[in-house]
Amino acid sequence: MTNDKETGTSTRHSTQSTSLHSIRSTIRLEESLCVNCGWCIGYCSYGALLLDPLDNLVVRAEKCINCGLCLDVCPRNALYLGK
Amino acid sequence: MPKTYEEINRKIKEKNATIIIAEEMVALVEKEGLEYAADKIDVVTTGTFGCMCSSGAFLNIPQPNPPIIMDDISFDGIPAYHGGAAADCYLGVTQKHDSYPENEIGGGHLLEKLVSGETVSLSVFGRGTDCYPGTSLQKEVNLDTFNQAILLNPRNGYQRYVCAVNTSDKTVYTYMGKLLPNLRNGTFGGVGTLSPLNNDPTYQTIGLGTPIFLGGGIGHVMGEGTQHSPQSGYGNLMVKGDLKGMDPEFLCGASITNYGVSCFVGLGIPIPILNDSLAKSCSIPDEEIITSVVDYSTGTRDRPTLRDVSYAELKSREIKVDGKIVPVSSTSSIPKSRAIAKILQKWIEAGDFLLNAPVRTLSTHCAFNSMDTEVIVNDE
Repeated sequence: MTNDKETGTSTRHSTQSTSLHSIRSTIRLEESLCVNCGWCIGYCSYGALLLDPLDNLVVRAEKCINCGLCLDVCPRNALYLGK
Repeated sequence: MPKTYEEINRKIKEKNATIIIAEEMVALVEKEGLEYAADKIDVVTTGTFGCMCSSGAFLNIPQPNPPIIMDDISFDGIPAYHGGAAADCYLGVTQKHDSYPENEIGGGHLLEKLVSGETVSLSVFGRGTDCYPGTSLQKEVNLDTFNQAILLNPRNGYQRYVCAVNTSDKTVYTYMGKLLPNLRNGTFGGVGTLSPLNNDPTYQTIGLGTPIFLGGGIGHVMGEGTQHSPQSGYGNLMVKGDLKGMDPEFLCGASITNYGVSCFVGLGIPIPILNDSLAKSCSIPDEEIITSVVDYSTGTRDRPTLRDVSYAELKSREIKVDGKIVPVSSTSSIPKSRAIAKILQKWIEAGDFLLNAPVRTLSTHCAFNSMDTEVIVNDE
């Protein structure tokens, strides 16, 4: 269990997403820094970032294309590239 | 039936007061009607959490022996303003590092470190006088070191703010964040229904001395904020609170790409439902709270307004501008704003957070002026 939110569901580290994305870097979230403003969401055209029903920001790694736009805009530097 | 502060406070002390957050008031009035809500509800709590650049803290540094008149003061290399008495300074949240301005760390991040209990490196230089012979001091300090640490924010809690977009063909970097070319995104400030001043837009209950949630602790409204512009719907507040009672969850640094640094500040205000008009203003839905979509592609003071937009549209995360669907995102945290309103609700329900009438109410008519003069622009 890490601090990273990986999916939009309650299953944070599903086997499927891990196997699909363990071979390349993708957007990750440092939860302790995130303030759930959602500032990043409007920059993602691929639906990889969203606020879940509990208002927590989640990263859907399987939808991320690594464009990096969200990295540039997070005012808390809570998003980073990682495996 | 109108209520008084005394009646509401008596119910709070007896733990019989009915307190709900602003979003719940909207739903209640829609379901049960205004008269029912005005009678049933005693207090509506509000909250907002966004980058509030006009923020900072007065810090009083204990004098060493021999004492120093602290002409130059910095914390972790970030200067604090000295211009008052020997050991007082003001650390502003947008202040950047003296030698490394490219660092994405500023005064807001220092305040976050201090309220987190961390130490920072204090550096002081003085000119040396007969009464203050000391000339230099270096020391690791934390929040407990200071005699007083008072968050005093000249402009917080804007009633509403604009939605910024960019119609040009190049990216622009602004205090509203990175704006992509050709209307590829938009960013908006303010939290609509939850916003404190939107729930009392004629300032019946908010003014000097109003007790508030500030940065996770208890604070007070000092009066109208700088650039308070009530007639255009852009009222705001000057607020203060004891930094020593605050929480980094509700007071934390922010870095805005290619613009600068700032600080997220959490602010919540309780609105006593004294009469029907307050019940009504606390029940205005996002659909009826209107702001402007503004083109930030120009560097001019008076930027073009492209259309009006409701907070309901903004919160849907897509708006239409010139026939184009524009994804928009909030620069404020609506979840944290809601959390602040709920914490304030709990504080009042606990029976020891009482309300009082303002000693002086906010201006409802003052003007926000501009200056017409030539300025030099660096085109590089």
